Amino acid sequence: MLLIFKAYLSKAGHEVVTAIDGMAGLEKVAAFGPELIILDVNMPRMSGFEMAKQLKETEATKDIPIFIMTSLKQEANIKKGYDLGIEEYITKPTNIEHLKLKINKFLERKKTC
Amino acid sequence: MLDQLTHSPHFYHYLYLAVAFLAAFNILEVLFLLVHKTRMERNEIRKEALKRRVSTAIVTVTDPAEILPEPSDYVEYAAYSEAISSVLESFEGELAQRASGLVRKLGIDSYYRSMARDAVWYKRASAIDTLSAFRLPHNREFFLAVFRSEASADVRYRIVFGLSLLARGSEDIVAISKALSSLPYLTAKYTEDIFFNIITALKLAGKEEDFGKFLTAIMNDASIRPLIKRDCIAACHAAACERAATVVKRYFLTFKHEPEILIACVRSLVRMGNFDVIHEALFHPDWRVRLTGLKYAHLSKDDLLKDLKRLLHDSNYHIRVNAGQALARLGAPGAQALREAAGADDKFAAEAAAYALTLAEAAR
Amino acid sequence: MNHHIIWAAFAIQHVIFGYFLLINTTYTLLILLALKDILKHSYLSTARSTRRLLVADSYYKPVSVVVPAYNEGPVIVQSVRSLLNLHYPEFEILVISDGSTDDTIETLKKEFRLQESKKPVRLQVPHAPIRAIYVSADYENLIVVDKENGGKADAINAGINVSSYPIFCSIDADSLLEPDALIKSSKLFIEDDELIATGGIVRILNGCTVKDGSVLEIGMPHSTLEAIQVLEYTRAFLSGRTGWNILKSLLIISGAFGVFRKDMVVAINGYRKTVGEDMDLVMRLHRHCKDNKIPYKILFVPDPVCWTQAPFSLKMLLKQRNRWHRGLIDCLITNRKLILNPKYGAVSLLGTSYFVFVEALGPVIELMGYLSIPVLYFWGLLNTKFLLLLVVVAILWGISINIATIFLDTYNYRRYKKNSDILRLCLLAVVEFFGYRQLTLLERVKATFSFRSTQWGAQKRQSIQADAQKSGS
Repeated sequence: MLLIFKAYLSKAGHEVVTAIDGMAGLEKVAAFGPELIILDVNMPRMSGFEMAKQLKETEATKDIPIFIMTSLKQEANIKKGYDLGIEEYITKPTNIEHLKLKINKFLERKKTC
Repeated sequence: MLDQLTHSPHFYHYLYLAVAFLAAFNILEVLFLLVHKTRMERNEIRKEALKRRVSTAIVTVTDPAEILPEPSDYVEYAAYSEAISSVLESFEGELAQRASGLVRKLGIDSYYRSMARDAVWYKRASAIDTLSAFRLPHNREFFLAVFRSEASADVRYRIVFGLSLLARGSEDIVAISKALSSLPYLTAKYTEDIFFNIITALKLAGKEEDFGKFLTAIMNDASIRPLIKRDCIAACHAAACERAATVVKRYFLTFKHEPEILIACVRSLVRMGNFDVIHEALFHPDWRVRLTGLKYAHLSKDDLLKDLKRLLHDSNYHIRVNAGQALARLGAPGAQALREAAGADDKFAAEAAAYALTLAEAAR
Repeated sequence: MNHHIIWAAFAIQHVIFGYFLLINTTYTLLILLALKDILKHSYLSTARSTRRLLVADSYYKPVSVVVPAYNEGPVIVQSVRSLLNLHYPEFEILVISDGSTDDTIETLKKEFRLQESKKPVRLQVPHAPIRAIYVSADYENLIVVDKENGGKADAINAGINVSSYPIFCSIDADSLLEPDALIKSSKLFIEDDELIATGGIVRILNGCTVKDGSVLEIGMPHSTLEAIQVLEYTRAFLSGRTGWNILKSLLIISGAFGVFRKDMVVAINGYRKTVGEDMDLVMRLHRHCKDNKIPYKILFVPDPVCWTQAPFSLKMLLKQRNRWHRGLIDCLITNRKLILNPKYGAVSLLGTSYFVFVEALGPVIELMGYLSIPVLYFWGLLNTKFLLLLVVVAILWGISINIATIFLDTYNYRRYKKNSDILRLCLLAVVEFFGYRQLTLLERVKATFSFRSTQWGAQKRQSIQADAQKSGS
């Protein structure tokens, strides 16, 4: 799945860095300083929410916007997500074309703010 | 006896033979081990490489079948099926269409269909699992046909699962429940998953209300076990089947003596934003129903303060502890009630109240 | 007198011949069964189905992980951190300090910011008094219980009483669970309502690279002593447990990693105070369910993996084997109702018989075999040719069983990848018969005659990191 994201979003002109689990993800965030982070809730070694929590609690990373992906519309998850300050909530299966448009729009808005 | 053995003329011949055989066998075993291991690892690398190639093709090209080779052995078919089902799991729209197109154009469908007729049961089961993951509507008839001729229950459970992912409307629900009732009850989770799949598939087809109709139809059907009805309602909860809310409420009012069903109803209704039944749940004789009510007590619009205070003195440990926590969620009046109870004569109630107070403090 | 000794020596010869046939046939049978089962697993548990588990948000039951600890100061923080990293949606960790005299509680208090909790405890199973219960301010699912000393079984019982969830997982303080071990074992409880207990594979950590509480690289330990244990564990788990599992007579779920349904364990009054508490629990579960005609299943699955430290000195190894053997005998005596009792079916006639005749009495018989050689020789009755050939056949047969076990391991996803490791294991399959086997044998015979002692024998603790470095990772 990571491969597909990378291929699709790279084609759209974005630079994409992927990580296979939460801890590797944190390392990559520290190394690359991305503009936007998209997380899957279910990841080995550290769940998406754990990683988001860590990111929001660290001074250097707390302002980076986060999108979270999950497979079911679980009420508890949505609430947890918004409590943490997560920007956008994506449910699987997702239409990657729409996601790409969402990302583009979001980044544009951020630039103009 | 051993003496007889050792004195027989051919005995030592046999022993020598045994030694020679075992020595040769061991050497062959080691060689076989190394060869097998290398082959397995090579297969794994090949599979991963092909998976990557398939995924990239699906993303970059409109018709990936044009640039991808036809799979030739078990490993390549597995690579294709894993890559395709991974795409279908996470994406919809254009990508999903390309992925399912691949299944038909490269003959992956027919490969697994023939594996579904294999002599070995777990190969059939694996083939059915793979075919189910593709979620191709045209497999529906195939599944039904195989179900009729299939002998092994393990495979049949999987076939029903595959069918549940393809449900279009009322006729399909009836067919699936018939198939389900011809099998022994497996587990709650399995049955719930079947109906969850049905509801999700119905939502996609825009026929969500069909499930509510189905629930109404089976409500008074005594031939269907209460457990199955409970699993249907649990599926409503998991899949957020809002159109069925009125039916679920009717179930709650009808099945007063089935605690399992009542618990599933409360949870389901709460998820759909309906808190009417919580108050009544607190009075049920079965402690598990009371417990479920307590977990959502803070959402109810009724004034539950008096009832919660009473439940602090309940005979069941879980009820007392949760009543305390429910009161803690009610803010100031709840905290006041807890402080009163913490000094009460009933030691168990006092303990539960004291504990709930510490939690309330920590939350603030 | 001479006549009696000669007669005894001959009788023993027969017994040993029969014993040798029995033990090798049993292991060959178990391996063939295991092979069939592992082939089935490789077809059914594909990567996709595992992913489906993790994706389904409610495909789990909440689990309480119970960690009994006695003087585990050096390793406890790393253990807990690795547990907090478990990939599982809802679980709690209960560290039970069994009257530790070192800084276990202090270290935990400092590292995890523990605060005292007043949650009332439900006394369902007996244990020594609890002094205090703490909850971590940073991790609300981490609970530490400080209680008076009572032994490992006692500590787990305390964990059962304090735990909140319907399923509990009992592990050792130095076990390192794979992040998905818990979901792989607990999903079985969802898939089967009759399941009451399950366990996974325990592998040896020595020689592996560990980082942040997870195993990064799998490697064989350098020392021969530890490496032979790798072979032993593989044989015991992959062919032993899998085989017994198929025969529906699994008698032991390792104390290093076992997952149980709490209500059944409470029904048999929890763990009993004994040295072999893990085997004892499973045997009593069998008895309870069969006596009360409760449909049940106790399964072993090769999927979930737990890593444990193997003793690295001969002294520690012998102490461990001594303890295991005493535990075994104690269990068999307490649960003697299970011996050769048709009422209990395969559990009794197959599983328990194996443990009585092969595992418990085996060392004594084998030792008598060794001793009878000089006796017969002295009386000129020794058939040297036969003896030599028999020994060669026995060893070759045993080697083939060992190699078959190594073969079974190639199907496991956490296996030794380097060919050099595999070859080394094959070599060790031979070496095991020349010294290692005899040493453990003697210790087990010693244990047979001293089983009344209930000492645990403190194991020396080294932090997991340091040990991995020591083994040259």
